[in-house]
Amino acid sequence: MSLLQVRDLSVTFPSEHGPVHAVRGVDLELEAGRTLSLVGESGSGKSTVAGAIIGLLPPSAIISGQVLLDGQELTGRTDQELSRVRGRRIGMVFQDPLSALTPMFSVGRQVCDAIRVHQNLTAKQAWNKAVDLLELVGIRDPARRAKSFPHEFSGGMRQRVVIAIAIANNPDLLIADEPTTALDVTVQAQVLEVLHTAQQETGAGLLLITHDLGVVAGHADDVNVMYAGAVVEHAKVNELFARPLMPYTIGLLGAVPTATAGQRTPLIAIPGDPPQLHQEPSGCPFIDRCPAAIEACAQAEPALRSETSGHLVACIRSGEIAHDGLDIAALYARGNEAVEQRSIQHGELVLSTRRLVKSYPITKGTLLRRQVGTNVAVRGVDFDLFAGETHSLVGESGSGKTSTIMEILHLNPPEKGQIEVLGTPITGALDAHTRRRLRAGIQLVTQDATASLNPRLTVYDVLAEPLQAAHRSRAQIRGRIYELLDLVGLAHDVADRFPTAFSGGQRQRIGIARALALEPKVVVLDEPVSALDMSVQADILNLLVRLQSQLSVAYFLVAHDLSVVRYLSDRVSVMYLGTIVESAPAEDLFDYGLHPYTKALLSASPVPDPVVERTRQRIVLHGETGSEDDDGGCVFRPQCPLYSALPDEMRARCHQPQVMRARNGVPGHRVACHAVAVD
Amino acid sequence: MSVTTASILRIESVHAEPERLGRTRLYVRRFMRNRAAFAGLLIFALFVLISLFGGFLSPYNYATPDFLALTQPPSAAHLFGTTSGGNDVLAQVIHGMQRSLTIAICVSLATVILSAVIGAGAAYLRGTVEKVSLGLIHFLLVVPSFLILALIANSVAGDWRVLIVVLSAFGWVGAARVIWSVSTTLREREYVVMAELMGVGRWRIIVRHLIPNLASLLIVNATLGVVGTVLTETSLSFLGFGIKVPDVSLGVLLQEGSSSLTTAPWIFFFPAAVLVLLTVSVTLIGDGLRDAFDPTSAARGRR
Repeated sequence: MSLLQVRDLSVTFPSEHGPVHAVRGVDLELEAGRTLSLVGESGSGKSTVAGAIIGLLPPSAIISGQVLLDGQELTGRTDQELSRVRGRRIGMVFQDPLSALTPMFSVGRQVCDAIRVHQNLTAKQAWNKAVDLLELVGIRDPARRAKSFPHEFSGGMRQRVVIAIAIANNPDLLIADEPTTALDVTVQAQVLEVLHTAQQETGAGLLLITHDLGVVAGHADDVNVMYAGAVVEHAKVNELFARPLMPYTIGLLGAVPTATAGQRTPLIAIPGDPPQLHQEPSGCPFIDRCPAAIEACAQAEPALRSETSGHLVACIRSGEIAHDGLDIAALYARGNEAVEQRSIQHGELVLSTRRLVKSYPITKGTLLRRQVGTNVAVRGVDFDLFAGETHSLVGESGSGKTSTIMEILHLNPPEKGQIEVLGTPITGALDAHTRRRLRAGIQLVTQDATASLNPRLTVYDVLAEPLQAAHRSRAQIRGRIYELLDLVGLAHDVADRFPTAFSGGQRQRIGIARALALEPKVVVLDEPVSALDMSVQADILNLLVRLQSQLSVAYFLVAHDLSVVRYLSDRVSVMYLGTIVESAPAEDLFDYGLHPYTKALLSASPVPDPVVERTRQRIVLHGETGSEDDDGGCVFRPQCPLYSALPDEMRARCHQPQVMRARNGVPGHRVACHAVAVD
Repeated sequence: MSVTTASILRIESVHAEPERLGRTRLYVRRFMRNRAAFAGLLIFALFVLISLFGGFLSPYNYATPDFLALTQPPSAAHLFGTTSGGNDVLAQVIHGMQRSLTIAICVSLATVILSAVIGAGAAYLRGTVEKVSLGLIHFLLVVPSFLILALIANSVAGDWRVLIVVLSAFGWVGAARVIWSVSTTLREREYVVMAELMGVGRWRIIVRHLIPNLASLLIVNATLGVVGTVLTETSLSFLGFGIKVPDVSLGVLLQEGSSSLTTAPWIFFFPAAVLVLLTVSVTLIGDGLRDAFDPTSAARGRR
């Protein structure tokens, strides 16, 4: 018998606009020791399924169907009865490790609590077990670290603690809901490894809920694709990625910017938005977005049925797709014609920094504030951006990417070093005219369009704002706003609506339109697509590529998703702890990255292809960023896999300041490591 | 738990509603669904109408005594009876209510504007402006304001316009403190930073980005401010520091009625009943507004 069986699970929530059918008739089956993945975009109902299994949905939710754990019914039990199952038989790992831990108690105490709720152990025994568990999830020096509090841990370490709690009682089932979404890629690789170890150690079945197809490719055995509250495709992982049958899945896979493609082929952008779930759909819920929809699709919602052995799909045309060569990927409208990866032509220099330094004081005490130290966020960054090109800055959180762009955008003289914007050095106070000209010349698009748009202003007012600040006349503003809406592909009648009326992708279009209002030479893109769903992300990437070729604007891109970076960039600089460790033309960097950190970063970035994902060698970094004192030497040294293997005299050079070395034969490829070969 | 709730809220926001409800219409709908608040609104509207157009309800002028009817209990001629000086209580209550409401509404509007500008301005401009404003706010919070109010109001001899100014001058402080603390989080919002990076002026950011996003707080403050002011003004007048006879407010009437509470209870009873109904109705409206604006009640929906 299967470990977990979910039969015809439906969840309905009441809302202001009538009931929302969040989950509609989902069947799942998970064997012990295997990993079942639920993939879908936000709103597809995947997290609600997890909530329903463990009984953590709000009381207003109406749940029907069956959840069987080892044949025992879980639905309809009281919260008290479920509490005995949760934590003991089912372990949970959620997205945000910060809110999953209590700031008031040490992590060891919290693991102890998890153990002692379900097991009859003395405090001493429980503590020892907690220390063992922390060691298992890869926390070094666990006996000492167990006494630390959550705020003393990094995000990745906290997530390890959460995993330790989840496996504390040898659960039969682990549920991980977006376990690595909030983490950096190299940390994500570590945590996924830990989760894998934990699963093997306990022999538990793992229900892995994620939107990241790369994570699925690397870690799932079976995959369920969810759309509009229902499972629309189910297959073994290799089968699904090799021969997807549901047009939605095909679209999703085509929407991933592939980091291995040499050419910038436009991505599949699935048109439209997921349906509202206020009514049960009368036909196929994907019909409005499907390129292969026929009349029969509107008749009834297709049931999930077996097309080939072990491959279930909810599409009436799956037979044609599987056998008759109906090529769905070709039917999708691609964003625009192929835009070729350009060779770097040196236009004018629009933005440059030299030895830029930014530090923040660390203060202590509330009444008498005194400075106890300095946190150097940016330590001597040289960065050049030429007209019309895209230069990306990649690195993990805390590497100083955001500090760098904010230092430039504020147009204030830097603490140390030089900034030059549009040929004007930023020194001293700028006069109002110059300041306005530079403000217009460099604009920002942020990650979260929802947060960057004032909910109380209409789209018209949002777009008018930069124009008003630049003292444009009313008539000019009006004309420009409609031009901008055309430019980003929004209808004119959206001008009178408020940001809340739009989907995430549309809001990001508004954000982009606002950034373009004053015809800037430089647009800083700070994680422009990382808050968006996969299908929408592709749409925005296509738009960004089109706008660049149309307006020849330079992009200064900051992103953590390397496939996005590779897709958009001409040149990439890798940042680690405030310094640029490697800078190169994009193709060169991704194919022949030299710096050990670059290599680790590239290998940690998941690829949505199970064959590649499971065979390639992954460099997992150990330790934590900046865990050693700064002696002016290589900042990556504490985590560097090369460092310990170097002969002594070479190692001594790691403690000296690193100089940028040019790679022979590749103009513009420079690396800050003495130990790698540059031929 | 927080994770699952968050995912549910996400569903709400991702699926744009089929029949699109504007923000305002949503608030109105939520407010109207609250029966107590709706009743409060009806009572309050009735009082406002009466104080504006209520003159025809009584043939008498509030200040002209009817010497043929001194201290008369309610009768057909004088529906609410008369005072010891022969004034018609109904006419006096209508006028007193008008006076009290005028003062309350003007003061609450003035305090809301003052508190919003000072609170949001202090939070956004930071530096010296913030230090000075906060110093002033904290100073005024510890000063026994009612006593000072009483002294000032007494010295200006009951002019209701001066009373408005004085009440406003002390009324904004508490609200400004709350608005300041809310604004300290608003000033870090991304759209505020974006506006700065676009070169939008500082006062423009305060007026366009900070204050509109405080709207729900301000509306609730304004409503509850009406109750507060009615009570303060009534207390002042009751103690003899506020409105002076021959002009009347509810407080003056209560003071007058209290002296003959056992012999002629109607003189006290009618203004007291109006005062209670007025404050209860406005409080209900305020509570209803607060619930309607509260985003956490969004998930609840219709049963």
